[in-house]
Amino acid sequence: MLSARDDPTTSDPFGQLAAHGVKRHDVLIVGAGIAGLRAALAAHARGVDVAIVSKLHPVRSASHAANAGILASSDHQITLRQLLDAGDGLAVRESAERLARGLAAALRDVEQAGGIARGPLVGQRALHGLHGLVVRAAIPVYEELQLVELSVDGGRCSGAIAWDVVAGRMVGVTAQATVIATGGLGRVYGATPRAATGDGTAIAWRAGAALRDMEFVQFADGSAHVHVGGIDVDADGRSTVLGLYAAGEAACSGAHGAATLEGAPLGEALVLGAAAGAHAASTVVELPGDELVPEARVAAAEQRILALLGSGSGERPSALRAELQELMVADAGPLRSEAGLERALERVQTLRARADHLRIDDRSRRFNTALVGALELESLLALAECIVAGALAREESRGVHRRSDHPERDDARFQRHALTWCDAGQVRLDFSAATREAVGAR
Amino acid sequence: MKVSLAIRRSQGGLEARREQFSVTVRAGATLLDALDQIKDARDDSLAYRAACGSGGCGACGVRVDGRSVLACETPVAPLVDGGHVPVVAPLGNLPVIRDLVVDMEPFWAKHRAIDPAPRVAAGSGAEAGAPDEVACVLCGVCVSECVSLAHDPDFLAPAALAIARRHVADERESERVRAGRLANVAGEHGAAACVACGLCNERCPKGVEPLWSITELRTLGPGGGSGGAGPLARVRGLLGRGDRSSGSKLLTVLRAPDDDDDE
Repeated sequence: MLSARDDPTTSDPFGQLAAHGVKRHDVLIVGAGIAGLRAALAAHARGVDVAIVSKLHPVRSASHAANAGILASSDHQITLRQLLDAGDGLAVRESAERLARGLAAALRDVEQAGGIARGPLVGQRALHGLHGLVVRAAIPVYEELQLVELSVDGGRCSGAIAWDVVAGRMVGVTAQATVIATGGLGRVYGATPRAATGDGTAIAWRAGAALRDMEFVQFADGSAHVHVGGIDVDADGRSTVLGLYAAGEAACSGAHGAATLEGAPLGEALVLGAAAGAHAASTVVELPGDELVPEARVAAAEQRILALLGSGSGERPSALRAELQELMVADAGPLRSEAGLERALERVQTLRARADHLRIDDRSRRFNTALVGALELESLLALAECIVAGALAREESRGVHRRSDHPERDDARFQRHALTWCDAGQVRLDFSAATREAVGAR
Repeated sequence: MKVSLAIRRSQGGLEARREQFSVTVRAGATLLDALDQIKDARDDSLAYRAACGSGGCGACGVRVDGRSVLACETPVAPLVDGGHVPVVAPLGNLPVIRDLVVDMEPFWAKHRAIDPAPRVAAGSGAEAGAPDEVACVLCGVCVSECVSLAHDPDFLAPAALAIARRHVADERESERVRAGRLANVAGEHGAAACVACGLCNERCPKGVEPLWSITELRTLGPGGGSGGAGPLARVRGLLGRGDRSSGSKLLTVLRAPDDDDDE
């Protein structure tokens, strides 16, 4: 009854290396929440070969808890105005307009799949319904694969490398377009949802994509509720890297600006998910590429992972994660100050250095969740530094970013987006571009 | 609060063993909190699934003293009352991958087989009302408990049949689609294979009560009502149609409650 991946030899961490099969699809979706499933369906509808890689089975995705509903829009001009107002001067008009115009169709799609606009189980009904459509479309879903790297060469993304948690081996997936839909990063701050570790956002950043407005985190009941910032994308979900897209909470199209309107995040997961999937499919036709995820790169990634197994001298990932959460709540939460953020930055940077020496006692390849925790920690720490660096630099209060030492909005200095780049693993912050259009041609 | 758990562990097809762990957890801790504490403080190789941690994703199903539960929704204090050391084991009726992690593929294959999305035209509007089955989080607790599945591994089992009933009841679907759905669950491994033990109703953490969904599929299916002589009809006759809160009564009638220990 077990599948082909159930190879008993893979339970030996230092045994024979599993073959590095590199799969090939036209479009790869990473993440299987509402945005990822919607993107996959949109790409599939355009006749391309699409596959999904997800660390969770789709119905386990955090999208099930998106219970604020889907923003209703009977008049897209009114909705646009609401979005721009909520955005507190930072919303990108083109993205907000695409969202406002797309909401009605998004709701029709969800209803067709068994979802509802508001009421009990909004997120769950949409998630399960879209998953049902993915099942019907026979779109392959590679479940319980943890994203490890994106393959980017010469500024173009050619796919992804992921750790197969069940089989205990590295897998490469070549794709002409890759859509990151890995969700939010609430785990930077607290215990739940435990899978919201921002993997795709952090890994896109490491691969050269710009992140935008990372300091904007919307809190509810003391936990991080929605991440407003994310991978910098346009209204079609295109990131700053050719062939790399993002949608859902992992992305920042600018539609929300500095704060989200209730029901807008789920609405955007649907609208931007569909747009990204469709555009990714068009890329396959218009910009065919023959780059492959190199097998050597997959093997190298596997060696890096295996070196972590049974490494006994460092600190446990769970202990560092707990420290991170404590300091982020204390010093980078809903109300921030220069002193607290300076302290947070120093502590996060120290944690990142300490995380170079992690202790993982579990030597097994198969279902090694301590290893998964270590990979997730790497993402959490990088994203925490991006958040803190942005929050420290943005010396104003705007939207959900509140500074006790700078209580006013300061348009003269900060009516602009914070772009965060990865510079040899370090955070490089750039406020110079007032609009995403100034970043460069896509 | 100090908590001791005896956890059934296995790896790579090797024989399972019980390993006892003792940890200190905060007041009000759940079983998942206790597992986390064991993993973080005692043995990071303990394998179990969890995703949302708040009862909505269905990832963390396990058995405690033979009873299938969601670990994140189960307070640990009552389990260890009086110094009892509960046995924590993987879900039943599914192959074990490692420790508390089961291979859900047989479960998902059945979910896929019932075509788990509405077949309706664009612009049909929303599904009417909220069928009970939309609360299903596909956790596998009912499947773990299912007596019929233990006898017939090909039985579609309660979760898939519950979802099938939801779509059968979707008035937006055409009669033809509906007939197809009913035919799809009418075979020997479909709704007819249910022996009506009622454990799915009793143990579902979301109150879905799949037995009643299965009953309805049998009534509506080809030769509808022909199941009238079977156990389901007897159960319905016993309790009265529409009594959707009587799973525990079923247990006392049809099955001794303690004969499902994990070992």
